Amino acid sequence: MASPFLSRAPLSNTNTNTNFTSISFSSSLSNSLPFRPSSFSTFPSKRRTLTVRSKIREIFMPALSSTMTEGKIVSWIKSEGDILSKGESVVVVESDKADMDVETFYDGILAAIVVPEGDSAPVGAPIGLLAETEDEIAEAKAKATTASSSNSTSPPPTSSPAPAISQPPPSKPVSDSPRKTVATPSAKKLAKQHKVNIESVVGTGPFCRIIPADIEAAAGITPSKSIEIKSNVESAPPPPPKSAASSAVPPPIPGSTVVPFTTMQSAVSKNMLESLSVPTFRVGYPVTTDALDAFYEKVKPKGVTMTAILAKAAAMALAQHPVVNATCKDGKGFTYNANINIAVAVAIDGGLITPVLQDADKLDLYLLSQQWKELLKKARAKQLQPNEYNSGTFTLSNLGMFGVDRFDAILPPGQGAIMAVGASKPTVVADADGYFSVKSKMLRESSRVAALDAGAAAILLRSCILVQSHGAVDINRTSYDLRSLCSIPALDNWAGFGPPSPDDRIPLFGLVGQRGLWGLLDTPISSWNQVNGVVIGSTFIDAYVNVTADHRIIYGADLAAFLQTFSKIVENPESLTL
Amino acid sequence: MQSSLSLSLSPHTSLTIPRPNQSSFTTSAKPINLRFCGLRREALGDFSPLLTRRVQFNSITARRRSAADLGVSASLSGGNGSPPKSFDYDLLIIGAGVGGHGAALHAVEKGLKTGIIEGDVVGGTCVNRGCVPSKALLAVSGRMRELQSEHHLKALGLQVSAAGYDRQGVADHANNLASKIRNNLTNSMKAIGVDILTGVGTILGPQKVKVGSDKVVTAQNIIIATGSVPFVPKGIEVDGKTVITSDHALKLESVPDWIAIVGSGYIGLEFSDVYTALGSEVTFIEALDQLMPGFDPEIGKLAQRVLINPRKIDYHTGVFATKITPAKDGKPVIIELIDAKTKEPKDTLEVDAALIATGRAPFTQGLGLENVNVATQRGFVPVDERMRVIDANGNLVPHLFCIGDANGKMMLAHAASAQGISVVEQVTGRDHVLNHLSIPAACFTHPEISMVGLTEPQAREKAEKEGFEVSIAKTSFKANTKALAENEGEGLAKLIYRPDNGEILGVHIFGLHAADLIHEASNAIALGTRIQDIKLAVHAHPTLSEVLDELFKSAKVKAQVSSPVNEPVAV
Repeated sequence: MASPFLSRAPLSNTNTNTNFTSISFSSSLSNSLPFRPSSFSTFPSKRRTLTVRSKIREIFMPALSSTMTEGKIVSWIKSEGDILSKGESVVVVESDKADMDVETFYDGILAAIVVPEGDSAPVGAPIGLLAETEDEIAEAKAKATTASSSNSTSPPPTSSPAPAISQPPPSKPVSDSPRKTVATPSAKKLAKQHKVNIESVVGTGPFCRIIPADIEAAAGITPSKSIEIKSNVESAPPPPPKSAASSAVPPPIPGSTVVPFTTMQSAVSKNMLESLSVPTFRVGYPVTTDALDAFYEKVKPKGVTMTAILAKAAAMALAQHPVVNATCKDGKGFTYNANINIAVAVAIDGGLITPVLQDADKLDLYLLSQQWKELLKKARAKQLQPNEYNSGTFTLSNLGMFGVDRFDAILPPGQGAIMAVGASKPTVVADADGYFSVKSKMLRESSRVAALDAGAAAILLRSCILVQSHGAVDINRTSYDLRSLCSIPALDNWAGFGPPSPDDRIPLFGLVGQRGLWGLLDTPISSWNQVNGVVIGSTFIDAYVNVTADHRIIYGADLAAFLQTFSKIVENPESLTL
Repeated sequence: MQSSLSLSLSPHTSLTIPRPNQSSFTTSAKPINLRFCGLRREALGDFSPLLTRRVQFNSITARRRSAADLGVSASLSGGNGSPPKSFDYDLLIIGAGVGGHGAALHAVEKGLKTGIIEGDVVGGTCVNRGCVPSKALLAVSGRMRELQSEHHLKALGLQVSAAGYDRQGVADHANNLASKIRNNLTNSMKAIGVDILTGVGTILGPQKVKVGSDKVVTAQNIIIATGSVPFVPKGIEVDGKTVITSDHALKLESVPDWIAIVGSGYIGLEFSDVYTALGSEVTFIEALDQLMPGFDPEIGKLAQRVLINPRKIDYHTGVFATKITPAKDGKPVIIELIDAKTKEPKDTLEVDAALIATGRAPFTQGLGLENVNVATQRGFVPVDERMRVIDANGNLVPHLFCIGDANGKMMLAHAASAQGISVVEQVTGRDHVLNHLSIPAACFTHPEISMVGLTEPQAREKAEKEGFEVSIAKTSFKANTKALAENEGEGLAKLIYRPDNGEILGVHIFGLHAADLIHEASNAIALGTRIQDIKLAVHAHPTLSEVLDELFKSAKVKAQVSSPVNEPVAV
């Protein structure tokens, strides 16, 4: 099964029906999206008090996959007037992935088909009306006609460009009499697909007909390359440049190969482009992970994975900050999700997928770990069911295992926030007494108890900071002119030591990426002055956690509060087992 | 039966040719001048051959008038003293298409001296301008489709850089195939001693045919197998370049950017498959309200979903093309459409080419049918269920049969052949009525469509009339291992049957190799095999045939297995 990246289907209980004054209850018919009543107190109570006044229900275009934006009605299994019973297949819908039978959740009569076979409707749009009794069929029918007429009279989306203006005039003058629009079958299909008003397109094909390239130019998309299948022999006259759009694409560099996207990669690409429409912002937070590491060592033999720990921690934090688990669906309100489903980005062969740990706040760590292992197995076998990869409410992306210390993730469409976790690494901190110490997991592991004098420690501290803030230190140099450090204002008077002297020189060893610091610490301490040694005590390891969030619903303070909570949980990981 | 009685219109030609397989008749009958009367054709048809003969002999009181009513009289050799006349041939077939070929081969097997007349080229429509070259084009289109389907290839782990084709190469492949099959056909007949007479055949009178301009040959029995030509409705000007029929299209002299196909039956559908694979865009024009009107509605729907909607095809249904003007003077092909019901002008299309695929018209002109008092109906030669030609008065014409497209019963090459074999069976003394419901049909699109027997609406109508129950069983290719291995899971097999006795009423398949899969069902119908029996038959695994296995197994039949338990076979 092809899988989308980092997205999820809208939950059915959040279908805020704009017509809810006339139709009191709405539900998606998708069997993969069971109705989930909200349990949040913040959930607007108005919606919940909508009782079933009228017995006419709308049948919605269900979201059958996370990449599905609109669906086509392949066939209506039932006809108008047919009696439906709960669980029966009513309509076959074609998504971008498959044809699926859609079942009804209610008994009733199929009163009206709003979207006929062969037509498409956006996800969530009503495609049919379900009446509870025969008396209501007429009423439903009336509704259906108003619905469809309002659909047809609605102007084409304003987002589509007005191509007529930007188009060059037709090369050949056409006869004076008003000509009807002539468009080829695939041009018509493309126009429908890209919502281009075909009447406004000027054709450049033979006999001034509209050809696919005209629609692509009008829609501002690059022509699909696979379209041109032509006889090899008969192209005696060299093919003229097809259109302005195609010539805009630079020719490929000789020798380059073009490997088209797989379905999964296409889905990722589409989702990534879509993410641009969401105003996001990023907040970073260092989380000390010493306790977490220790905890992990303890529970690892019991089959607990780091992913499960992080997911559980995030879920527990989300439970306290529901807004971070919310979604901004239509740009008009908060959609609070009833469940905390943590999607975790996983790289699989040729793609990326987000298996979802459902109800991560409720399941215990051991179950969660078990579930995660199963999900991973399925993901690798590409056997995840749609609800196992598109039901996430919050996403976790962890690149720490690759040594990445921090990164920003892109917020997947349909979610409020995504957390990017970097690697833990030793950090220098000043303790409560004003002393500073270099604390590192590596020191502990190598059982090396280092004693440093204050000066050496200060230099070490500074070089650590130097390494951290100027990652691109020349690794081939064994010494470094501290004068460059003087220009770093943060180092002035750090912990009362005053600015480094221009004459100080510090050795740097083996500065290679993440291990740079280790290399530094691993140098024989004996070559340093050992006076008034400070025993390095407890280890502190920080990981940088960056969260990207939808600023329409989640504000800076919300994220900061959430991260604080998250940090607290991680620093006291025993709470994860409660 | 009549033939075995040596019936004849003209008294002076009363005769018979003694044959071993007529022995039962000649021994049971006294050599007497026989006439029968009072028996309507329908009644005759209902009797078993033996019974019919007996009735005929019991009708000795026949008078000439009543015999004339039937248009037949009978006499037996020696019975009235007239000498036996010798014919040039036992069986003469007019038209060497697939129907004539099938009849000729079977006739020789049955010991008949057989001649076959061909005014054009051996092989007829099927081999030269129909099924055969179109299969060559469809083979190309199938491969092009595979090579163009990046998604499909990728799923199989294949990488292909680009698919292109050489039009002339494709056209040559179709042409070469046609000539190869034509030679095979010719040789197969020559090898067993069938005389191939070149020239246009014209019926001069009973048992007498003119070949070409002067040669006259006689035959005991004559089969008309002249086939059909593309039907072009009036108002449509075919120029062979931009407005074409299947005859021209199969030569593939050009691949237009945009072609309108008038008619969405088998021919139109197959050509849409070819043209879209070669890069053309297609617009269907269909007079009925739905595309593919001949198919079972459910199969038609699925076919539309797979073969029409995702391709570069659009369509106009419920419209007639009243006028089609070929491209000339710098103008494209112009097609005027009117509403099929209101007859009001509806639309005008401008395309690069138009293919007229509105069906086929019988090719019976100049056949001399008037010489035997036969009036065609819309060009078709009227026949009874035994392919015996019926004259203008509704009587059977003795010794004259018509098979294939010319009789219009079922315009399929293999149906013509089956009808021809049926006729040979009859004239060699074994009564045979072909069950047309057991004749499969196939459309070689990608994937293919095939069917045998009744469609669901037809079956329901029949069930209503005759008062039995109809059930439907369906299986999907998505559940078939072999189909999935080929990454071709799109497909459906549908079984229409009687749950009370397990009779198969119809089977319809849409999916990979559907045309090859249908025969298990058509054979079952032809042999009267019931579902409860065939469902116990074993299919090799994994094969596409298991689609049908699943289909039969999913049927719910009340009747018990009818075949006796076989003796155990040790293995």
